Amino acid sequence: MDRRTFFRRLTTVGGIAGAATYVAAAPENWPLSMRDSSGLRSVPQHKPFSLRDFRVEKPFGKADVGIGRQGTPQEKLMAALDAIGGIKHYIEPGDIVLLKPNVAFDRAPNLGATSNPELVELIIKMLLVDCRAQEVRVADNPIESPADCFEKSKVRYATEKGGGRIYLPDSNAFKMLNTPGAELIENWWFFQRPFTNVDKVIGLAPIKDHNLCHASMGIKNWYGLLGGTRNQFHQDIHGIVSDLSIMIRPTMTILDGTHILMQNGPTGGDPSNVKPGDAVIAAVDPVAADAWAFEHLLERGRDYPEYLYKAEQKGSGILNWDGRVRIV
Amino acid sequence: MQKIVSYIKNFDSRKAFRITNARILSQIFFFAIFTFSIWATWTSRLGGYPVSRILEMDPLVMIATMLSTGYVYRYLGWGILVLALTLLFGRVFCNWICPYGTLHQFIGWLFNIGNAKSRIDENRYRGIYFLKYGILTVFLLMASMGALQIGLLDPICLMYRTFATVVSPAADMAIDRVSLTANGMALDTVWLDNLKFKPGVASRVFVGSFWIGLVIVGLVGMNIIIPRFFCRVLCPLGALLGVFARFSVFRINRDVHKCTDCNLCLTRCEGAADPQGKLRLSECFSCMNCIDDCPEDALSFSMVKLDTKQVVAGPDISRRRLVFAGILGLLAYPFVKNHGVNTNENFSPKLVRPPGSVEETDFLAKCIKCDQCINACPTNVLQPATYQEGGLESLWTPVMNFKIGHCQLKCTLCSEVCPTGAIRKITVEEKLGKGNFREEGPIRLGTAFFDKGRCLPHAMEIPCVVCEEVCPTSPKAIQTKDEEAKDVYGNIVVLNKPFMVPDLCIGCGICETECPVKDQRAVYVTAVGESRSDERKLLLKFRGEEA
Amino acid sequence: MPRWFISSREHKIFTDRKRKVLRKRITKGEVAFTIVFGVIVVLMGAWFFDRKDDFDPGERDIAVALLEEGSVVDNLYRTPMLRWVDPLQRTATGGATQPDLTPFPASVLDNAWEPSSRLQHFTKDNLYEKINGAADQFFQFGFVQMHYVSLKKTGGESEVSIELYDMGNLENALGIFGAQRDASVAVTSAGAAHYYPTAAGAIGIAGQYFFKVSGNSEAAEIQDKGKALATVFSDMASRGSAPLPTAFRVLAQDLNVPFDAILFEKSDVFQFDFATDFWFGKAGADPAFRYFVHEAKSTEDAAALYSKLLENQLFDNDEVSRTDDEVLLKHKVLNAYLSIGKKGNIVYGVDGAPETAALDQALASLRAALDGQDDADRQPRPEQPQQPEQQPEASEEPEEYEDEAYPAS
Repeated sequence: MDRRTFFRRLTTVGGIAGAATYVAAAPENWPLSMRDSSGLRSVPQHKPFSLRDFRVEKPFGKADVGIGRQGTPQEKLMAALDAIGGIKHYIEPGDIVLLKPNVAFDRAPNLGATSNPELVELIIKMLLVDCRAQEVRVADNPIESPADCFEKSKVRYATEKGGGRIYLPDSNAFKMLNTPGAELIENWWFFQRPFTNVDKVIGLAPIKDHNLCHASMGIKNWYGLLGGTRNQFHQDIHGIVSDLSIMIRPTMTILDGTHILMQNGPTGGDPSNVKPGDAVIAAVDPVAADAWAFEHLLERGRDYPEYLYKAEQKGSGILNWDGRVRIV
Repeated sequence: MQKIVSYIKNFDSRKAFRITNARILSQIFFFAIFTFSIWATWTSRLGGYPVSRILEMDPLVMIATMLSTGYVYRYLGWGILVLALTLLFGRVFCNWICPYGTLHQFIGWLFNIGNAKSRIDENRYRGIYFLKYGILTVFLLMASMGALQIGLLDPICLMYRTFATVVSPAADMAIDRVSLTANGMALDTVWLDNLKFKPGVASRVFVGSFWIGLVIVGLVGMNIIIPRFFCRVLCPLGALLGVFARFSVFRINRDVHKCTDCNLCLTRCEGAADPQGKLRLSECFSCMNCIDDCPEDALSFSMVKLDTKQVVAGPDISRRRLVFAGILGLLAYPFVKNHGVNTNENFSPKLVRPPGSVEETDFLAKCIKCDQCINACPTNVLQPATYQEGGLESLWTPVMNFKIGHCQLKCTLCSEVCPTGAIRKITVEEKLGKGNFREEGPIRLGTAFFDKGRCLPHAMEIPCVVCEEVCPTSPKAIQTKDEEAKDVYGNIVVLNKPFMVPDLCIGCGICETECPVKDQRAVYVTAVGESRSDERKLLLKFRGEEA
Repeated sequence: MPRWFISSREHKIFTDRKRKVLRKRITKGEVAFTIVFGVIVVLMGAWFFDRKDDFDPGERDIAVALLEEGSVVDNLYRTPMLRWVDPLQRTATGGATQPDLTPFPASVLDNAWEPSSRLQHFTKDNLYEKINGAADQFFQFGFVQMHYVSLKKTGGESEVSIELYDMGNLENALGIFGAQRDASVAVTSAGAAHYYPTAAGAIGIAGQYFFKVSGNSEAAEIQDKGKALATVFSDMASRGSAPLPTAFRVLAQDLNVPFDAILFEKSDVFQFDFATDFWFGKAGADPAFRYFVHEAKSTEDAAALYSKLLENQLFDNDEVSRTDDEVLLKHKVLNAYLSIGKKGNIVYGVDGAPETAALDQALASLRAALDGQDDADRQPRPEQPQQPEQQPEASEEPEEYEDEAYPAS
């Protein structure tokens, strides 16, 4: 071998060896270092994202909770929305709106276990036509098979008829969400995909009895956006539900009191569990709305579930609905 | 560009319309229909598509189930079409329709390099090709006694099973990876959902699918050593069609006057049917390749009288071998049935079958392990059985694994797609026990039980009760005894202690799926109490039912 | 040598795939067949995809009518909630004894009632769980803790729930009572307890305790229970640790001001921010005519308060006469007299008197009562519930004033 080749080889080997040594041995905070002395660097990190606040200031003089009790479900909904300022105040033209119904089970629509598809279609049409929203998304992460739940509860049909788009949860749809101040879900897997570029969020929940936390209404509806091993939160159900009230700050919450699940909640399944109701509630204060519905629609009196007090403490609303409710 | 121009210039319409191209068109069509069928077997796509039709027109399925049950279920009569085709044209099924045959031929066409001589040698008839007739004999004898095992080697069952449990999740995994990367670049990939076999759900898993994948890789990989290895050596369906092919009206006919014995017709002979000599009718796939390869135009596919000088008619299996196969078949039945791991006294608690399944002995006489039910299941609860659930006899039949999923209350898809009636087609009305089925009550898959030593409220004074919350029956089959207790930290907690009401339980398993004690659930479903079997019942009567 | 060992194959991955078709003759029939076959394939495909709607959706879902027809009403028996009982309470025979309901005395059960909930204890941290927004008001009045229990009539339907708020001292209890009470209803006394009945229960105070009893119906036995409980609480109060404040004793016992007419103002007394913790007692028919007493921490504090009060009252009032320890003022605009005095660590006075004679009389009785207090202080405090001491002169005067018509000045 001649000298030139020798030196070229030497340089090449030296270069590669040097680079490899740097990468393997340089201190961990140096750039391009791949050293991992404790084994913790290679632990998968999930960078959490944050949700923005979707609330809109309600117009002066309007109630925090609007309740429509007369007429068809459409008329009730319109009355309730007008009482809090009208849908057009909250949704601007060109907005991308996410409507989050409760589609947790594959029960028929009028059994009170899932959101009323009539209202789903109505709201979507209202958003697209009256408010000229750019897009309406409908999403939920059900407990049971997602496609079956959307199908049998007729929410898929209603969404397509209304012109909305359904987002189903698959493995790639979840990201880690950071909720500052939450006691249980400060960082938790969240159904993020439908929230990309969303401007406004509306929750649409039925009113249901629930053995563990005594009621499943507007705030508990957001449970359907959690991923991961969310079943373990039942060990502190009031903690999680009150956390949900600060995890997401929706533009408004609509409580569908057309079919009220009085017993055997939250799954229902038998027409004897359902009581026909006569109220549709639209609220910018989810705590007050839940309290009113608990007292007047589930008829449980003022022994409110603990999660409402905790939610109030966490700052997501005011429980005392006296004077802040407008019934039409 | 130049290639395209020269192609158009030299386009010989006659060559383009030769019969081998018709065959290729047919292969592409049926493979596409097959892949579409796997894709469309899904809750949001099924509609009325006949997704199991290729299974239903498999004559081996028809004949074997006819032997094991005495009846022809639902659409299995379509097998007659294929038999008729075979009686007319020989084993056209093997090379014009069968998707597994198409797969083998395609892999061989892609990877099987060699010179003309080696090709000719590898396509000569080999003695080992008798084996498939022996296998067929064993299977048919077992079937005639009631033990149906054709699903292990039937090519259509194998393809459906492999695509459902191996290809489908692997393809979805790849699409998910693409989607994830694209999302990272802020691209909207929701349209990719249409490509996925199973969109809108978390990634699916199938227990033991590694072995199923290994089987197909092994069998398809063998093409590099012996072309169409499976089709020539192992395929019981091919063997069955070979038996019928001896009566075929049309066959490959070699004009001895034109033939120069060059043996070029063997270059691409798929069936190793000796077109250069005495044509083996039972082996010929009617692939028409030999016609294309003959420089003297000596070969044709025509209606010719049977001439024993020109043709070897029947399967080339000696009587001795046939008898041995028969003995094996006869022995197989008692060996399998007396293996003892799936009797009414000794059955695995994990042997929970899909809703609509018939009673176990009948089930084993009908299930062809095609796994279409597993393919259709929206919650991923159906899994191919391993040895644990029912022994070798039940290998790859569907069982439920409630740690992975639950049986969706109003779903009957598995029963819709089952070709043989091992899962009898049911309506939701029957499944829930309403309407005309009120007296029978709902279909029960099993019964749930509590392991109180692991249940949080029972054993640890920690409130939970997810099981009761998700129980779908009304009234719920899980009720609670509510108790206040002072835990060791001095807190007064309200414990809702769950307990079973077996009269109401339908064994759907969602309690087990949602139980937070993930490794060994505190509430679990076992097979006892299933309504399909009188012998495996639990309760004498269902309290609360009106007399 | 098996073919797959032959290394000459290993230089390529794929086959050539270009195939030489050696045949020359392709008949018309063959071409025709291929074309026809192509059509058949298209037709087969069309047939297949046409099957899309070939199913009965009714079989894959259940009609609501069938659900209703087969509806099962939930009549399951559910064991009632088992309450926690301290195991140490259990008797030798295994049954539970009278449960420990501290601080409620056993007499709260009265042999006819049993607890239907466990005893709950609330402090500042978790009071909101029981009474949500109303908790703030309690905090303003020095809330210490609250005990809650609900009782059920043994063998009956009636239930009462009892909330016993420990406000720390009488002033606070009086304050919260004053803030929460229905002013139109008269207050009755039972020993040291002062309460009024509500539709289904009673609300009142006893010593440092403020209590609320509410039942599930308006049955007589609930009303009676309310009254009985008031007596129980009166016992508790007299055995309680917080002594009756001097001012209260003076007003309630010595001057016989009815309980209803006694008020404790915690802050902003006379609308002065420096004036806090004054006791007021009605002195005559006119609600503006009242005694006031303030117990300062020390003589110096009392003197300072006295001066400051005088100084500020002079903005609206004119001085009529004064001594070292007392001063008489008349309102500049209204026809009302105000007198302020100090004695030891007490600042006292009379406010809103319609004329000097009335004022003098009131002031005299107040002074006498305060003097009497000095004596009382030197005696050991009696254990039993105190009866209002009858002082003939004092008891007469308020009645006198009630009857008199106030002359227009």
